[in-house]
Parts: sequence; C-alpha cells; structure tokens
Amino acid sequence: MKKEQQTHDIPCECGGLLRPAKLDVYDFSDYVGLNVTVNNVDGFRCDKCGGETVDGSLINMVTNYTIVQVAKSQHRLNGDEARYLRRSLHATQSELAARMGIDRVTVADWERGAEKISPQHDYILRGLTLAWMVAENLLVPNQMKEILGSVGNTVRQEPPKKTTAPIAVPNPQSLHA
Amino acid sequence: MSGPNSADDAQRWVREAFENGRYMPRVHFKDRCRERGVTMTDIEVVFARCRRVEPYPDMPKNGGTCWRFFGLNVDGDQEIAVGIEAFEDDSGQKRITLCTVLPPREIR
Repeated sequence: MKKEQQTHDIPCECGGLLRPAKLDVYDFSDYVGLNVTVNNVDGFRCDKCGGETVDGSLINMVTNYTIVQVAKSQHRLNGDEARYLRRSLHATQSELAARMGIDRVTVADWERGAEKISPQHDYILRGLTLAWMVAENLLVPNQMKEILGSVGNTVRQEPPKKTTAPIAVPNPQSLHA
Repeated sequence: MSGPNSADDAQRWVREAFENGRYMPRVHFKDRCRERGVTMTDIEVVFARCRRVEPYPDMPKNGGTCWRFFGLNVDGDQEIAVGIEAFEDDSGQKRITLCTVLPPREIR
C-alpha cells in the first residue's frame, strides 16, 4: 500500500466541498480495529457540513504503522493484539491455526482471553505478520530481523489483561519514512 | 472523468486504487464502519476476494461509475457489501470513493 495523496477539492455527500484542512486529531480506531489516534493530520473538511475525512494513503500508512507497533510491543500479546495480527494477515482463525499447526479453538481462546498465548506461538505470530509485511514490500527484511530480535525475551512477560493501550501516532510525517 | 464500465474492470480498478492508497472514504463512511463492526482490513479483503460486483444505483459525484462489492470479512463469518464510486482524477489516475458499507449478513 503506497502513498499517492489526493490534493484537489472533492464533493461531499451533503453537497458541499471537501477542502484540504489540518485536523488537530483524527481517530483511526474504526478503520484500524485498535485504539489509534493521530494528531495534526493533513485531511479534508467539508465547507458545508463540517464533516472530516482523510486520504486513503494516510489510512494505509497508519494501518501499517499500527501493525509494526503491535508486533514490536514489549510484552506478550493479549487477546486483542493476537486477533489484530491474525486479521492483519487476512487469515481466519482456522487458517492461522492450520499455519501454526494448532487447533482453531486454541486461537479462539487466545483472542477471547480464555487462554494466554504461549511465548513460542506469540513469537511465531509476530514472525508470520512481519514476514507478510516484507512480502508485501511494507517492511524491509532488516527491519523484520531487528524487531524480532528486540522481542525475543519480552514475549516471556505476561500479557496485559485488558484492551491494548491507545496507540498515538505523534507525527504523521514520521510515517512517510 | 470516467469510470469502469464492467464488473471485471471495476474489480481491477478498485484493487489498483486501494493498493496504491488512491481512495477516500466519504465523511460518514467511518460511522458506517463503526456501526457495522467493519475495519479497513475487512474492506481490503472484500476487494481482494470479492464474490460478486454489481452496478450500484447511486449518483456519481466525481463523474465515475458506482459499484457494490460483495465478499466475506476477514473472519469469514459475515458477507459485507461495500458501495464505491470509481473514477479518474484530474491527472488520469484510477481513484475510488468509499461511499458506504451495508449491514453485514451472517454466514452459517
């Protein structure tokens, strides 16, 4: 997913025009599936209804950024995070289970918090996700190695009990790198 | 500006535009996603593995053509329909507007 931002005025569904605007905060949670907000975003605001939206290139970048943040989190994955990485792979619970050589019920149990993911399966899930990102040219192999190297020991730590803490993307420009 | 004229063309158009980030959700698209429990990953999967594509009787706002894409969500347990407008922008690039997500249908 690459970046090619739309710059001209765009018709809004209300009959107004969406004009380029700096948005103080934009909540990506509904798009990403985790609690993610970005400050100081280049977006669009309707000159009639005041509604706001952002370009798809930014949504794609925030999505990819979030996957990496979850994959490098310094604790064992909790249910929400395991589910998020599995969905990032575009895999059903059955498909992920088959790839990991385990039962679908085990994946379902991780995701609803009935069972903790083991350190080994945590590491494999992160590895599968990052390898997929490399295959999609969203990450270079060295970054994958670096991330997996940095989480080798932390996957042994207990996962946080509840929903993942909000992921704040402080500077959208940093996503362009 | 113009848009695709067949379902096959619409599929190619949408995949190319989405993969390259040349899309924009309408202002209320995010609300529909929240209401229907659909994320952008589900939308991407619907576009990539759509079961069928139909012309969508909506008024194009960018001079393109409107389509409805049907496909399973990532979890494979719901069928989602996504309404889009496909059009060429000022520079001749294929682009789409994400108009709406219809209520998912449970797959048994």
